[in-house]
Amino acid sequence: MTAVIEARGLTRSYKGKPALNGADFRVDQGRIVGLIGPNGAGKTTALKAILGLSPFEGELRVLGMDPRTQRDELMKDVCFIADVAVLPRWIRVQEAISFVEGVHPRFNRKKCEAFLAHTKLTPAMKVKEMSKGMVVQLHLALVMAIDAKLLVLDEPTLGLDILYRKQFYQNLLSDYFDDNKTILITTHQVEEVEHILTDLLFIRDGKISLSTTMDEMAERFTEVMVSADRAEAARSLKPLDERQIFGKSVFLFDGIRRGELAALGETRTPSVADLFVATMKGTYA
Amino acid sequence: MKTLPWLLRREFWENKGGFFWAPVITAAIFFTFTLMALIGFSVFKNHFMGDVHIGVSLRQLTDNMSHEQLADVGKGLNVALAMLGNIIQVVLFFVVFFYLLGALYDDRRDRSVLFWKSLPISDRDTVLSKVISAAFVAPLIALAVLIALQLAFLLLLSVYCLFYGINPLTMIWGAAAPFTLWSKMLILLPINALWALPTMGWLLLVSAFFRSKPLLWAILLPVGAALLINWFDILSSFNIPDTRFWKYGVARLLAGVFPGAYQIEFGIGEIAPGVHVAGAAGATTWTQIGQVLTSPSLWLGAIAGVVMLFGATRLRRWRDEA
Repeated sequence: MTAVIEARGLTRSYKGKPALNGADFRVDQGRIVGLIGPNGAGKTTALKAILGLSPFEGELRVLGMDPRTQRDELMKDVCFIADVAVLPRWIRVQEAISFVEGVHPRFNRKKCEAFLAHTKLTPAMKVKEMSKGMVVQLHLALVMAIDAKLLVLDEPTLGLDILYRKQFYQNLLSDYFDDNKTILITTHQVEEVEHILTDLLFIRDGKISLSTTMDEMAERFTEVMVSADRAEAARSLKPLDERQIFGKSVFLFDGIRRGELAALGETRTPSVADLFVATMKGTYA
Repeated sequence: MKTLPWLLRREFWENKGGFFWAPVITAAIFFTFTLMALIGFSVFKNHFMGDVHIGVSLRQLTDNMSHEQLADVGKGLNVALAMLGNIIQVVLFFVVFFYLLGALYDDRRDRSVLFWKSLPISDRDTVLSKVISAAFVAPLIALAVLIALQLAFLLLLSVYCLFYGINPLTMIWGAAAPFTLWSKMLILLPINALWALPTMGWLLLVSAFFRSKPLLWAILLPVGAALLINWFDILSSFNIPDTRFWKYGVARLLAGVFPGAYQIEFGIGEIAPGVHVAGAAGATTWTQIGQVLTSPSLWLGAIAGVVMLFGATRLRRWRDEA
């Protein structure tokens, strides 16, 4: 597998406070990776370093290039949607399309227009006349028509209603993604991206606290629902986390084989959200 | 790559209001006023003894004239044309000043800078496109509008003359010299641009640096520095008059984008100390152009401007909007 992003000891401080504190990670080609962490954990700082938007210390290669010195070259193969609705308010749909077509060597106008045909957007419409959801539709149509190797999404669906959010990820998966492309997503709405991710990166206090594929995660972590009389036995196996549901205890185990746990109760793979909550305990304390 | 033309087009789309509509509307207003003055004067001509001047005396225009009087009309017409030019250039100054001040600031404020930065465009090209727009695109559009306005003005006067049975070809078109004015203005464009470099550099630097109130900072810093220098009499201890800082510092940093701003420094069009004839662009002689082009003031300012533009480019690259 070729590495699209390789980071070693990635560090960045804001006014003496470390936002990134020696983060190590690697993202391979053809993956959809979720970079997930609590507020202030360093997600956006990491993305900004990857996109060459802010300086950093440590080693970082994106598509084999250094984002600090080779940004202009890098942006031909990297695309990003930062937060939501950052298209300029004065621009018209047709102007946005012409401009991107003019400056981006990998932009395909036909593709973009095909995406927009499924929306209510018209060529003469200005961004300031659009709803937030429509702005994101336009942005996504522009970005999906670019044959980029790496797409970075930073909270792409923040503030959108559920219809737009579902459609966003649906489009991304069915019309854009393929083996040559790589997508890196940060979001707080973990439940919504969970089913499209192939890899997980948890970030906490500026460090990567978990790096796994979804398959490995399913093998490594197990959730067991245990009735009260067996709770002590479960606790002796040192679970990561314990919570109560309907008078039963739900334990989360790391690295214990499922067969062993089946004796305690009903086993299942934890959701990313549950795993996240369990591993991030005490973050804000 | 064809990136730069697209960036220029982008600037025009965003600033169509200032670059195009502002001079057009100004021109339309002045044309309407001229038209009203002509009609009003024609209607009430015989009821009052006064006269109406629109550069030339309308009463005089309809009287029989000697050769000397005709020459006077010619001079008057050229002054009138130059005045129209000045009005458009004042508008152009404000448009360009505020354009530069917002050029690297507005998109940071509404965060659309993140969209522009997601495209393969170098920060150098971005800054360059703003400089070219301010130095050439906006002035060229203003010049085109001005030419249209002046043509319309002369046509209007021609029609007026025809009404009174006077031949406009000799009276108006023979007397006025609009082509000289237009070609002078075109030739002076690059010189204006060179002279404006420190102002363009300063405004873009402020625009790329501050997180809020760029207008306040852009004015406050040089004016504040000048006031401090005056107050503490710093320069006089080096035997330099305090006014130097106003003239070579404040004026060059803030007023340089006024078309022909160097005319004051070189006394072009000066009829009395400190009093300048409006529309000196047409009056600028080749000798004076040579004088401006060989002056250290122009080139030192240009160097300072380029340094500030580099600074603005660096800030554009690394300014973090966390």
